[in-house]
Amino acid sequence: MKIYAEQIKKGIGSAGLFTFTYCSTIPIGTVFLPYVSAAEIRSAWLKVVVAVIPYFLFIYLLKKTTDKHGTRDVFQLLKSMAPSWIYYIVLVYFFCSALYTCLFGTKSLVIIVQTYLMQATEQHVIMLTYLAIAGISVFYGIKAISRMIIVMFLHDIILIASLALFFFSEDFRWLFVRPVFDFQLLTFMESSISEVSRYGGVVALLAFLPYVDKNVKIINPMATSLFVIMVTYLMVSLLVLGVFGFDQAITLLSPITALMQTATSATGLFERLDLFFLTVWVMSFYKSALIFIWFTSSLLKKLIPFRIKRDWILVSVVTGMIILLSLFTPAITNMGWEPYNINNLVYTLVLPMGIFCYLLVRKNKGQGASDS
Amino acid sequence: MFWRKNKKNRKIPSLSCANYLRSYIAVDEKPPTEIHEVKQHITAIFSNSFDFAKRTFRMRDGCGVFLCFISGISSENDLEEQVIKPLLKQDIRSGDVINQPGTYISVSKFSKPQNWQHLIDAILDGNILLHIDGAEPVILQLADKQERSIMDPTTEYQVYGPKIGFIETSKTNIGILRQFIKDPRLKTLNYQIGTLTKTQVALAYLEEYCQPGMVKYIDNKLTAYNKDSLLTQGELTKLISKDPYSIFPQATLTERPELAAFSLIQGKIVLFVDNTTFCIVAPVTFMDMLETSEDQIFLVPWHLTFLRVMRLVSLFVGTTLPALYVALVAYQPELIPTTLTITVAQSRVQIPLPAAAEAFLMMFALDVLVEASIRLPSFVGQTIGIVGGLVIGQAAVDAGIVSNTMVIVIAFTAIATFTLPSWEFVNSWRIVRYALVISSSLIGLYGLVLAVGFLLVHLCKLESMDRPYMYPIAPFDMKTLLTFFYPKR
Amino acid sequence: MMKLWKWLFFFTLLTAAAGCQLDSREIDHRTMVLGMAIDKTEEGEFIVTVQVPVIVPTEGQLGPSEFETLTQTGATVWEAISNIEAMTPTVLFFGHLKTVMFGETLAREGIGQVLDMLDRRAPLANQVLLLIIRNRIEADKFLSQESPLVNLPALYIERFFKADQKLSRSTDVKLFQYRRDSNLKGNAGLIPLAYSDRENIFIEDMAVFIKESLLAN
Repeated sequence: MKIYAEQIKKGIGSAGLFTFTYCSTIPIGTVFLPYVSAAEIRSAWLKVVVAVIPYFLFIYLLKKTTDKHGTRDVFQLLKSMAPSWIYYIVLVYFFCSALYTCLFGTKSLVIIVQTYLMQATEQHVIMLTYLAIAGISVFYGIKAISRMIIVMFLHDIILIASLALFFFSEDFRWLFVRPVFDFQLLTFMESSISEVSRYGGVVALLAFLPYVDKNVKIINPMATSLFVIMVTYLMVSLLVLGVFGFDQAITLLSPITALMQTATSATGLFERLDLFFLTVWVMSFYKSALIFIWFTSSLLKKLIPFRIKRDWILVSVVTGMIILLSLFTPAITNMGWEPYNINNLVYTLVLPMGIFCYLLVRKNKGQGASDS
Repeated sequence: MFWRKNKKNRKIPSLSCANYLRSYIAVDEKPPTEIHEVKQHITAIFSNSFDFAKRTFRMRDGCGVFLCFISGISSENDLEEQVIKPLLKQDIRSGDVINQPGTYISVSKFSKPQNWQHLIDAILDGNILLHIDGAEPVILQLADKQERSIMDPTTEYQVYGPKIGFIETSKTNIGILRQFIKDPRLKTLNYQIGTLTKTQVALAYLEEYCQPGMVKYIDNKLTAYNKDSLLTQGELTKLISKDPYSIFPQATLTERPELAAFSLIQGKIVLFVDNTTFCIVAPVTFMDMLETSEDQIFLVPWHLTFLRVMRLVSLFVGTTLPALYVALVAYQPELIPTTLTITVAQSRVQIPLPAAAEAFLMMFALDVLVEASIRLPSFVGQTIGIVGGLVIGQAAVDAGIVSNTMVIVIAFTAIATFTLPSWEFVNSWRIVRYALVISSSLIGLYGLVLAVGFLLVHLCKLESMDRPYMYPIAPFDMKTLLTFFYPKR
Repeated sequence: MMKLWKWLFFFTLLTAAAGCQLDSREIDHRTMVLGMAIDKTEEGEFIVTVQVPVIVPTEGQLGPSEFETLTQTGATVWEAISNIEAMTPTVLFFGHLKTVMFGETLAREGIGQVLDMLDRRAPLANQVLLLIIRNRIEADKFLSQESPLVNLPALYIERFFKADQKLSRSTDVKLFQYRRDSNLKGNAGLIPLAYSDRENIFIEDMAVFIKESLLAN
């Protein structure tokens, strides 16, 4: 291998941005797909396609904003341009919501691991190991995390490829996936909320962008990644419906795991592929935990008025908070999806879009001096 | 911190050479011209050293001459032929010699020491002190150090590849390197490190290929070295590593000059340390550890592809297989094919130990075997291999201590890790293997996955000098990654 | 300083995790259930039969009689299974369950509830093959039938279907396939039928289920 020193890219490039976007969103969105609000899943595959559109708008606005002001740090921009009380309220809300997302992710991982991998182990053991290891890993900083995500992206490719293979299995029947429109607008809207919130992980980009290399064009990787996410969701919904049929699918805890269970192992290497894929899930959850714990701690860093030199203190505080929260809240099945989805919608879509619009309307810093 | 407080109070008496000399002479002063004085001091300094030789004689005109040197590392023949014989000729007058030593002494190089320190250092280097009464002492550069002739490398075997290896002298090594790269841009810097050992360290790099920042970084580290000794490369690699406490090596050692030359072209630096046959190559990345210089020799490029994929796979297998086995047998037997499950269960039914303990036992036994056989002379080593192989392989199974399948798993694991070219790297993964088995024996497959995730984050965090450790993969570089597996023409 | 914290973290983790190895159960401490047969007595009790391989420390292949069938009855399937567990020195392990068979009597009454129970237990694979045993032979007898070709009857059935015989008059139906089919509008599902005489196992024909109970074959 012949590398000249100057050729080595050391920062976070477009590949890093692509994988970051993908991994921040995919696990929690997929694991319970298409069963989230327990409402209407018959045409879920149509809705995941529709639901991605607002997020493309999100990316577009993000790009516009960063282009206009010449900086990629949206939070910093907001701090300098908006009244400080608005900034702090927004940040506190973001922080709480990110914490909520972490909590939800942890809870869903715990329930999946407990159901499929380790029935007898207590929940808090699963949760503690997961959070502790993720927390320690976040100590290494965002650079290491983004690199690790790139390395492990092979994992996701395997997953997507194996999903695609399902279309050719004899269990899959197109018969089951025809779209059914029952024009109950309320139900449709209600379930659409859950579909939209599947893409919520994208919000972590707000804190990640400042770390991306300056010369990298941000819009292409993000949009491609979003598209791939959409395709993945689409495949999962189609497959779940096509293999199980609607009535069966609605009773499954984690349709994608059940999907994997139907896979016959042609290789004979592993008897039951579902457990193997479960490890893929655990890894995927671990990656998103890294992203979100980091995201939450970076929000906390912005929130604290004085500077804390060591990041690991913040990370431990955040991890500790998640641990405490998960210990004192009931299991995910008793928590209800509705508030989570609505909150997700607000903090990942409505609020950031509002911020972007505000920042776009405001003039550049230099010109807007008299304005404020 | 309370445990750090005491450190300041503990004062280590300074054991420097200069201090020792100071008890006899004023180090910074010029040596006197008076022969007795010099003789007296030097004899005192080198007291109790049987290899220190000195000789006093008078020239024909009665002028005293004092000669001293360390006999093992000086060329005594040359001294006799080129110095003593001319001086003892009939018609020589001492005044002429003092004025124009060059015309009388046929030594190619000589110099006049500036002070006592220089004089002592020169003698220790194997040079000869010549002092004619009334004149300044002269250092005759007749050092003849013990040097081995160049032989083929004994630790890094290759099928093809040149049969030439580095030796213990950094100067000669650089000379070998010059034969590979004939370019003035091959820069070499010399350092003397350690106040006691005064080890010569040579830094070689290719200008325009290597990043200037890297050279500067190494230069700073080397000049700031303040310990009194440097005997091995390990002390140096720990010095230049950014994460010296990581399990993974951030520099590698080689005794193959073509590999060193190849690394130079890659923009790396090479460090030679006197008295060691291995040179340090830095920075290295994860992928560098999987390649040998020989890979480039293959005539068919697919061989390289095959070899590198194989090394990657065996690295993965060698690290995770025991942990996977433990996780599957103890936690998730559903994953093993049914017929194999029955076989494994049959082989395990008489074993008193749980799978995790079995794995630890076998891994430990294997590592002990490897360690024991390394340092033994080859004829004993073979015996150990046979005895160990038989005992661990067959007898342990027959005695019902470990199961058949476990023996297979461990044996394959061991062989797989040794496909890696770098011994340092192999050792790192051997340690990782234990950690993975611990995690999978505690919480099964789930723990194994989390541990692998953590391991990856750690690997990604590492940076060797200026290069990210996982370089062509993350930060992702498609072109470099492809050339790793399939070289360009 | 950070290093110290890390190690502290690790050690608390280790001690926390080391205390609870509840899921750690070696292969040889589990009784692998390869096949299960469920039927009903005339009194309305469930008869559950499981087939387990006998693990003996021999090398090489399994001998011809190295499996055991255990039968118990109970008011529910679950009770019957726990009765069986009481007969074994270790725990029953369903991870490798290959086939579930239903007697014709039970099938005529309806298998919906039993399937629900099976489906909800996670360690069961969705890939379990379903089979209906004709009334010519009792389900538990069928399970203890030795084929001259394959040692374990449960494995025999799996191999039979894996071979995907073109001339066969039957096709394999897995748990999830059956449930999917019977959840459709028609509520109809198919399950292959099997019986055996003293020497051989026959798998032929399909049973038709409407609303979870056997209608015709």
